[in-house]
Amino acid sequence: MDGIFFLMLRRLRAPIIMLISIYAIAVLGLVLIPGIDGNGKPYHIDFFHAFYFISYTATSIGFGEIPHPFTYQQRLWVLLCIYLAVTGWAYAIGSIFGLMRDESLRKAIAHARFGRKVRRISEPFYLICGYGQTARILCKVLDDLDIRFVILELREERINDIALANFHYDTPSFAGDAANPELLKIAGIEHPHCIGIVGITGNEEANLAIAISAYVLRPQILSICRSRNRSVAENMASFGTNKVINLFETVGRKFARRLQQPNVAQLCDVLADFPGNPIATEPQPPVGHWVIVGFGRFGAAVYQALLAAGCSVTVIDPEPQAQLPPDCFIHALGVDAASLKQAGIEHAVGLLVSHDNDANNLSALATAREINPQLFTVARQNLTHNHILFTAFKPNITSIRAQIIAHECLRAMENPLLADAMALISQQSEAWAAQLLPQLLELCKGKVPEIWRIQFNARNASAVHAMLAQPLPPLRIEHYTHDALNHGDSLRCLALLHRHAGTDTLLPTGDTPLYFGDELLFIGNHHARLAHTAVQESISLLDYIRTGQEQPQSWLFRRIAQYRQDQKNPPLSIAEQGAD
Amino acid sequence: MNIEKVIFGFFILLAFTLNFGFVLGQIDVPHQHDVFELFAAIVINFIATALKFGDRTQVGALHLATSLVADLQLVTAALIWGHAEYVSGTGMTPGVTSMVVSFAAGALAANLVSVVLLIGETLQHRR
Repeated sequence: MDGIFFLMLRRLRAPIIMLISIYAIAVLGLVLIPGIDGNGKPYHIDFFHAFYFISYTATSIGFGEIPHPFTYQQRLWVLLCIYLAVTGWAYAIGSIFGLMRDESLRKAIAHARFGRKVRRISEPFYLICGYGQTARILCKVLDDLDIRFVILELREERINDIALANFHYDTPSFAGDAANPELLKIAGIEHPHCIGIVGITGNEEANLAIAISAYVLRPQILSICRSRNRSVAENMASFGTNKVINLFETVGRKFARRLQQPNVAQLCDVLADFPGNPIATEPQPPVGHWVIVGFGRFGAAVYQALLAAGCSVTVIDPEPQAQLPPDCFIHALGVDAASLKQAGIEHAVGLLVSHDNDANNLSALATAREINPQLFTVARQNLTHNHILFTAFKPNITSIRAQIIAHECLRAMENPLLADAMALISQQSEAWAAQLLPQLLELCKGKVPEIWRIQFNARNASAVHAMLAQPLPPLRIEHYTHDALNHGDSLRCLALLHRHAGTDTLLPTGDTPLYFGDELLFIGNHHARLAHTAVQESISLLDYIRTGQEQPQSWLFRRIAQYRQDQKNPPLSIAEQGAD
Repeated sequence: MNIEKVIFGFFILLAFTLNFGFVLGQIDVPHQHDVFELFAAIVINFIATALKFGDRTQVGALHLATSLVADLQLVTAALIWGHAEYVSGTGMTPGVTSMVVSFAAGALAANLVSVVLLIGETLQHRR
């Protein structure tokens, strides 16, 4: 803000000096020119009254000629002064308004305001670079989860969209190049509350620059970056980026999993989805002959997945594809019946349309449907706002680029344990997933459950109490399923992962004891999450969930309870109990 | 030679010399202190202040501060003068005069600092 003040002063130097000079000349002239008082005697106006007169004349207020009516010479001088002063003021005011409209000043004010807002954030926040379709989805969910974020975006008009997005929190946002480390610093990458940085700008180079800046400036925070091709992805990973999202590989992997392990795929989908969304049972793609229209990176990823699942595939693309066998490739756009028929659409079981143009995709989809209504269709939707068209067409699977990336980001952001849990889950068998799925559906009544982590470390006050200060009775996982307000009622939550001394256990049993340094990953409804948060902060609530008895809160009642305890069984017996 | 530096130095020196000229003379003798000189000193001090706007360096800040001090002192001196003439009606008694002049002398000290800064800065650049 200081800089802006000085910038304004500097720009206003000329008009201010001009005004001072005009006033000085006018006042001096008025003092020097002799007047005639009421008695006809000559007199000189003094400085004070001259300044008073000029002040109201120059601002065109005009109280009249005081203290006595002016002489001819005085009026001549005042006439000159009026025009001089009005010009001076017009110039000064014009300069001030001109300055207000000045683009560089406005930018400087926005910059200073942004920096101040970021500095004042007192909660953990994410720094999101790029506010495109992906970021819109991501920010919406983060906002719903009460997580704060700061947005950097290159284009001014998108920054205006943020103001219209109606986030709960005042979101600091600034139009600037996120590839500039100086700007990242102002945007809070070094802020103690910054927990992660997300590089999802449309520019591959900028994303890489963000990865590098994050590595150099704050290596310890979470960094998530998007890349379109493998070499950049590897480059990012070499800079210690925690999560590199390579969109097309992600899609291919997802598709392959869905073909081969539908239950595991659905489990992963549910865990990666946004909390509160209804859990959709996505259909399983059939195995047989497939037609792929549009062989970009997306098409190629699915192609590999289909081949791996034992399907036969024919590809239609307007560009020649040298790496494909010639009998599986048709050189056409794929929107007309002839080329689709040539690709064997009549006897195909599935169709993937993956042009980077939504109109082509919809056109191909419509034509193919007409020829073969039983087709299983997978469509790539490029732009979010074409949603209505795609919903009307009802492809069996719609793959929206922005959504996939947003899911991937969220999964990485929510907590690192989840990413590990997902990796473990994808190695599990179909039967295991099939048995877990109904439990998951039950948790939030068909909605996607929330996922949270409990760390038993020094920050968790009640864990310190329960594990170090008063380790009896031992804390077990099942205690965390008790309601903190009403013992006996159980919370709708499920311990998904238990990390103890570096080993992860999926779905730990309830009687697993907890030790200092452990971590737990829970899935469940919002109520359970709130209960767990409360328990972490309150020692008495923790004692309540593990003993089922309300513990005395105040010093006096604690003393009384202690006394009663000692009366019942002498202190020695506690030592014996401990020794057991 | 930089014309901006000339103007800058000119106004700072002029503010100092005018101020000095006003203060010169016995402290309680009204006719040794001219009202026009005080007026000129105030105006030139204002202009010098405006010229110092917008410098973000440490020296620039000190420059601006000295000018603001001088302005404050000189305006106070002028107000005392006006009060004696038109409000209390005592006129320029030796007591009032010495008060006005002592305030102006305070401003002189501030202006002196300003000049010293200017010279110091110039010498530093020379090296």
